[in-house]
Amino acid sequence: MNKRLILIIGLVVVAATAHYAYREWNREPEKAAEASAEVSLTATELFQAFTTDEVAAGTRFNDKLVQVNGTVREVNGGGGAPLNVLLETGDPLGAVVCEFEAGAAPTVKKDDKVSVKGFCAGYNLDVLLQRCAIVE
Amino acid sequence: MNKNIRSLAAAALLAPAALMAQERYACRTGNVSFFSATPVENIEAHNHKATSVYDATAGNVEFAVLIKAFEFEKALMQEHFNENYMESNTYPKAIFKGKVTGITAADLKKPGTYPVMVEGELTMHGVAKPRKEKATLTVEPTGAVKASCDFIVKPEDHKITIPAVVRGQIAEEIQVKVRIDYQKM
Repeated sequence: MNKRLILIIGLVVVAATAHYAYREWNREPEKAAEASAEVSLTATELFQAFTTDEVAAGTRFNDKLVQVNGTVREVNGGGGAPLNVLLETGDPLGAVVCEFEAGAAPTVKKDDKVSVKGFCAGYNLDVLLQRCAIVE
Repeated sequence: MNKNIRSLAAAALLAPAALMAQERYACRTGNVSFFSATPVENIEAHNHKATSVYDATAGNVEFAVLIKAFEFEKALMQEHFNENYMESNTYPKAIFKGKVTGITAADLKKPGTYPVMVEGELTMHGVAKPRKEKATLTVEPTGAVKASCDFIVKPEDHKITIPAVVRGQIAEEIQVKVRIDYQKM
């Protein structure tokens, strides 16, 4: 009886471990629409944080789900490629770029006021948020 | 890199037209992808936000990509790439600075496909390596300038350590593709 119980428990543990490993192996990168933002600020504040001290801002924001509020400067891309919604920052040389996956593209246009959440990837002339979602 | 591009962009906005005789091109949505093929599995990642400035008069070219902006099909691949191999918190960007030879600024006014050489230094994972690669510049009838370059990167060249347990899953030679659609500055 004890041997049978141990065998059953062993099989359950093996099956659970295999199930976890399979799910973990096939897990897709998290999307903003599925989670709550960890920090919220304006697009201008986020951009200024990176242009003032890129390293400190990277430590604070990179990999985090960041919600930004701002005004749409430009919309580009799309057509099978990611759609980029560029938010005003007060600096003509840089924007907060919100990258939406093809198929998750919102219908926004220049001068719209929007709230967007996305995962911060850092600063390379623009501040980049990826796998974004519009916050209704 | 960022300061250089910011300076060039500022010059384009502020300098008198007479000073803008130099043929400069820029891109902020360049595509860089890489592919690792092994019998165990294939891994690929895409980055749609490469920045580049090409000064056709002087022949200078620069690229920068955010390492965290590479996107993978699977989360585990992306996490291991950033945390274990590229250490993207410590080395957030890969940068190339070099010269383009085999073409003149005047050629860029004529539609056609131009094979060129790109020679310079690729800094990745904090390690700079000299590179000399074949590339192609294409001038469309509309005047649009496109660049493409395919090359190989070996992780160990940039002191990227692959643990023995996953060595068989990651190719010793990573195929890299760069595709840039330039805008005239």
